[in-house]
Amino acid sequence: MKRLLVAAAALMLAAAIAPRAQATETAADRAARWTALHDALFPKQSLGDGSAILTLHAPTRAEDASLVPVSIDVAPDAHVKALWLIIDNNPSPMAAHLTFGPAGDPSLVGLRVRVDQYTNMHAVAEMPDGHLVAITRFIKAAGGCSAPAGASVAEAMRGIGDMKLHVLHLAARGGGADTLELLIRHPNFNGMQMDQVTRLYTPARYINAVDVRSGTTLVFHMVSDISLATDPAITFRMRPAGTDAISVVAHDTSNAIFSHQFDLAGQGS
Amino acid sequence: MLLGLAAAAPAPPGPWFGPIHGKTPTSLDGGQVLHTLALRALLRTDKPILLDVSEAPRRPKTATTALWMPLPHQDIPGSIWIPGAGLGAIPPTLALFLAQRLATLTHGHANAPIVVYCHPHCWMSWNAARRLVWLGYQRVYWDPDGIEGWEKAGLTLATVSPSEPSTK
Repeated sequence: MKRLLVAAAALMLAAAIAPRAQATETAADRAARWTALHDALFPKQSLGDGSAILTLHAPTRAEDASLVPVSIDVAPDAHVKALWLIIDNNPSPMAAHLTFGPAGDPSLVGLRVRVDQYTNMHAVAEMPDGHLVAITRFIKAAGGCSAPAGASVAEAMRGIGDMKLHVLHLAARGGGADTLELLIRHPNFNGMQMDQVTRLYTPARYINAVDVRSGTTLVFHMVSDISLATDPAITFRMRPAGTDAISVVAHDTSNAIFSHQFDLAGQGS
Repeated sequence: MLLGLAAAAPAPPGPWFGPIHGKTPTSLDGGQVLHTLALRALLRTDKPILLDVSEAPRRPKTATTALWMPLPHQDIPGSIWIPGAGLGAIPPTLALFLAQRLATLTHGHANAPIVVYCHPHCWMSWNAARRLVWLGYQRVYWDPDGIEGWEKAGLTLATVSPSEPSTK
């Protein structure tokens, strides 16, 4: 017991891990977790059953827990004002909150998220009259005990703020909604990744707000958190406000602002 | 069970500094490998110290998340949980804390049995077990099946709070 080799360890520093947890959660555990989240996120508001208007798509078993594609379908005539995506068992469960502007079409939102362990996900919608409805879906994803080995910070930061806009579907002139995918290059460090060079935890730095406009008319405003995957990807619909110009402004937690202008006329489909 | 999934990794001479999640060795220099059922038997006969070195969620310090609500950590009942003690390199305060906690728990007996675990395919428990061998402990067991192995065997888990160096 005298041979304390503390010194050997003392010279070295930390590596990186993401949380990982228990899979024997019962239905009652999951319900209790959701009750706690409901109280924290929507205090004193009741949540109705959203299954008539909301569908939450996610893989039942995700191949890569650091990059899980999730989408929310909303019945086209529901005209929801806002959507939330909540990943119940993540340490920071509120993944994204989108509010839609006059040029927004909330019928589809797609995101790529991080999932720490087997979990329920919830989609919550705010209806035109202000009341809230929710649906849930269970998904199996677990990244093991570790965040994927990160690249060096310098490498991960390369091209930060670059954006691409993919046209997935252009509506016929005079009607319908365009479906687009916005890609933002950003490491979205969650504070749990390790720099492979310094072996220190890389401080959290992530996209926390995105505004998309058609011309000057708001399509959506998104507030996001560490549950969004590296290089955030947002699939959305919009009803163009008489222009082919789309502007995107994204903010991150280091107060950086990234803005881009796109011209849909030049994008083709 | 788990070993069938992938070939074993060679044991590094010192701590493992690479990705924490991945193939681990099948042996532990200076200690013994112990799977779930053998651990259960050892718990009945030898009452070993159980050391869980799973990592704890790290709250971002540079920004305020919308809602920070990590789930309680669950592990093998009766364990002491020292997050971070299995990283390839650990800060001096944590290294000292680990050594002092073990000295207390073992009453300074170098031959007290100690079982180290975290999750399957995780280097942290391997690193921490090696660290105990270097500290001079003579009965160090490494359970590579960890929390999930215990759970898969139908055994119950218990909620635990982390033991960490006090931050002054």
